[in-house]
Amino acid sequence: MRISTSEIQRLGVEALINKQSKLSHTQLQLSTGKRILQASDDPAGASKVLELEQSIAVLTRYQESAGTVEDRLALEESTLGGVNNVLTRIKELALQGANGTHSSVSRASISAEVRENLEGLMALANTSDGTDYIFAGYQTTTKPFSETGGVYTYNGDQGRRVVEIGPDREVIGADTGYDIFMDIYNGNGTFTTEAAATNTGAGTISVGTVTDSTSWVEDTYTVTFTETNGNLTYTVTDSGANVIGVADTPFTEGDSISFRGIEFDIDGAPDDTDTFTIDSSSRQSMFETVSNLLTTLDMSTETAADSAKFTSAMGKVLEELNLAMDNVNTITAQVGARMNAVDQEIDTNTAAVLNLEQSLSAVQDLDYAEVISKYNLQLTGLQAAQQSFAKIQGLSLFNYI
Amino acid sequence: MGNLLGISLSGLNAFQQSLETTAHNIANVDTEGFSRQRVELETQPPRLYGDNYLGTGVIASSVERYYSQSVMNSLRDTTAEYNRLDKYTNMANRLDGLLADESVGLSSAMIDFFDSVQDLANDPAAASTRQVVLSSGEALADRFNFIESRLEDMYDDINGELSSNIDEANELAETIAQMNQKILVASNKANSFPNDLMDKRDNAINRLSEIFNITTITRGDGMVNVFIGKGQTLVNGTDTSELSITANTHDFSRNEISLRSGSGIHEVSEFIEGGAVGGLLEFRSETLDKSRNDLGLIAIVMADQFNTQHGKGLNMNNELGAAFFTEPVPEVYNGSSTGAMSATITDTTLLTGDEYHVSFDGSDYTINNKTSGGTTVVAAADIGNANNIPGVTLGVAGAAAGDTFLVRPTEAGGREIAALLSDPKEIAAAAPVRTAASSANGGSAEIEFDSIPDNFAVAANYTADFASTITITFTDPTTYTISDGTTTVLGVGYTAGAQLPIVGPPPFDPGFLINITGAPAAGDVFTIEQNTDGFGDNRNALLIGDLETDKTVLSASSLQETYSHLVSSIGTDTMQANVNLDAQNAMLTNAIQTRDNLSGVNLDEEAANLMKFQQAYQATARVIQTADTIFQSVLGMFG
Repeated sequence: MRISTSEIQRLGVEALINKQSKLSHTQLQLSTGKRILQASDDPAGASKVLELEQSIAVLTRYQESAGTVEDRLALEESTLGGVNNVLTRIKELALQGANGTHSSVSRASISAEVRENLEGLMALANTSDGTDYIFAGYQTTTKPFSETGGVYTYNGDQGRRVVEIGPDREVIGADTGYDIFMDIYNGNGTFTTEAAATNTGAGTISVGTVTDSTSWVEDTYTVTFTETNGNLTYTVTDSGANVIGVADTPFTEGDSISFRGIEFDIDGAPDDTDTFTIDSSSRQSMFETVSNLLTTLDMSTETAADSAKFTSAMGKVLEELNLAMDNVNTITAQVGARMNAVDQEIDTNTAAVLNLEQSLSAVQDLDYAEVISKYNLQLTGLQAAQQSFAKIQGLSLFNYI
Repeated sequence: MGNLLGISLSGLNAFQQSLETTAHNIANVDTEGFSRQRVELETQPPRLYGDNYLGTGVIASSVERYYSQSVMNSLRDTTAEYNRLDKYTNMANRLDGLLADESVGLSSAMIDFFDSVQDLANDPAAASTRQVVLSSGEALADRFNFIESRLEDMYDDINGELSSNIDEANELAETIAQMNQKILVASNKANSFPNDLMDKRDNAINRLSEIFNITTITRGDGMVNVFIGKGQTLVNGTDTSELSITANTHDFSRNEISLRSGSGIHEVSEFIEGGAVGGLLEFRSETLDKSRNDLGLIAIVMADQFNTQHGKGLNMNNELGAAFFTEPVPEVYNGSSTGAMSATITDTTLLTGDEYHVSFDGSDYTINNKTSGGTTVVAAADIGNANNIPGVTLGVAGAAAGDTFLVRPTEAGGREIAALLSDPKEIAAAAPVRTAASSANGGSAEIEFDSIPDNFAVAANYTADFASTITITFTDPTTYTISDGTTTVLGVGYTAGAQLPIVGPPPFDPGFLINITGAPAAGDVFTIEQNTDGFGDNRNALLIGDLETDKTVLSASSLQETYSHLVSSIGTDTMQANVNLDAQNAMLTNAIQTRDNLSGVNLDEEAANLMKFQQAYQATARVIQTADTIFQSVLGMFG
């Protein structure tokens, strides 16, 4: 076949340029470490890279959220620990104060320490993480608890912030002051017992227990004692003055009284016309409970009647302190459980990120061994093309004329 | 005796011409478009001498070039196709590099933005996290604008290249016409065609085929007519029709190609195939338009969805969130129509990146989807209905029969999107209301804000920012009273587990849904109030963050997925174009080779010819010398 001189030249040059451009592409791959330099190198791969990168970004973001929520839960946990310590100390003081042998002077010193601790409790309830109050619900810039004239108010709300820590995995990042300090029932949690201030006898009333919750009917009940010819009897009436059970039930000191699924003891001897009130429990803040303790500690115990009222009131306050501590412990346990869940989610996410990064690397990273050997092959090819080009260009019949 | 000299002279003459032609071939070894030539030698007519015819020598009858019209035609077709692919690939590579690049593509900016939204959800009250959302939102809008401006650069470059290509094509057409004239004159003079002029003309035609596909006809008088597109005449003998750049009839920013012919100027863009111009036009209408429309689609869907969710939240000024991004509007091109068309995006969940050509015949509108094909006919009365174009509502004023309009719903997306907020407090991270159960409640029921439906409307006497407090009081476990302080509705029935929008006639349908779960007791009170100062609330921020992965585009793919589809579709296009270009390159090499094999100069061959003609010349000279010797010896006889 005939071939023209310019064609020999052109084919030779084209081959050189072609090899050089391939070599340059390989060299670029080697210097970036990436297999896909632009989407057209591997369109499906390039799109996969974008999607994997987004998935990794989303998971990494969850990890950051999980880290933040962990810090926040840790702060809440340690604050709740503090609350528990304060309540424990207050309870110790209350037990000391409940001991009838203390004089009113030493009860005053107990009362002073309780007052200090109440302030400590307030400070804990108003804990801030530096910028935000942690127990104010959504209103993180509002100081959650305030006291005016012995009335304790919660200024926050009942909103609990939720944090996303994984795909379709949300965790409550903060409990509200309402949950921790406000949402506690008084008395024994179902009903309260109280001796009337006008009582003259030595009868004391216990906090009582629920024996059958299905029979309990919420209402205000009054137990009225009557002494007829030296025989003590009592009658239970409800708020509508209807007699519950049998009227004028005979009473012996130390008897338990039970009606409508509840039971409580009356110790000591009530006088004629002495009354005790049973009411259904309502919510009472922790601060109010401690404040009630202070009031109780200030009560006089001079007469037997005073002493009896003191004992009844102290019994109620101690029970309420127990309920407050139970509430704190329950929430602390929930926080602990959440922290565990967050830890687990972090582990899961870490594994998932690792997995995705491996997939990403498989799609976009270079197989150096393969590409380096390709590079060497291309280099050899280029050298061979250059040498043969130079040789062929040197050949001409004119050299021999 | 005298004949011996005559014959020899004819030989010297012929071989001199052959040597000259060889020299001409060698001299033009590197001349583009040159076809090697050869001298055709013939015997001279014999003379009768006695009873015999004696030869009278040689004559150079003609100088021919090695040339084949079919080889040339196939070279031109291949050249046009190669140049089309080359231009297309060139542009596609640019686009491909832009969209998939880690630092300039959309992907990284989108990830950064949603990172900042997540940080906001983690710490909604902090000024710093709010500031980052503002700045990364701005960066995202800037990234859209940046990519869009790179695309606009490409439109400008295409306009420029079309313009310079057309200039060159006009010059080449002129050259061809001039060559036609010269060839006509030369061939009239000598009764043969001037090879070198014909090579020059062929070369000009070849260069024209780099610009677009052409067809040629060689006329009897040796002139060539050149046609472009579907038979439009560019060169007719010594006349040319001028090509020009004109603005698109609808989109004036777009250059089109027109041809002047007897009756005026006609747009021929749609007929032009192949060549650099064909490649540019194809890339513009098929690839670049799609990229711009899809980018705009992502911008518009994101802006709308983000603003909608943001508007359902409460900001730090205790107001509902204002628009975070500008929502770009459709581009409508009325061209020279009598009427004016307007278009509004009414439902981004139906929106596509397609563009539409709308024409009016006096009674009906024909809407033609230029991207995916498909035509719908809509009566004039119904043109204002929603979704004649999916997600878009059209409006027309004063249309006359024959009017045409071009509608590109998403074209402006990437260009127009901008972040609007500047005060970190304006970010609405909180839900608009908070709920509370009264601490005096005896029942176990809990209240929870659920959501605001997409189509929510604030009832007439309910304040826009949900500033009224609503109180729900249960009179018994299955009945409640609801009040906003001024109006009270008594005795509303409650079914356990049912969702309340708070029932009944306004004002108690503020547009949001509330869940009350569990068993309420008589006397229980629940309140729903504005989330005033709820700076620590992240409920709306979480919902905004969900937009990253929600299937917001046509309910089928997320924003990021839509973008990666675009990247992979451009990548596939580019890869395909690269593969085709490689194949076409081989075809072109082949065509050039075929032409060169026939017409190209081979120096070794010419060297051999040189020796051959030199020898023949020398031999003929020797015959003259011999004739001289003979003549001398005859003269010597008389000496």
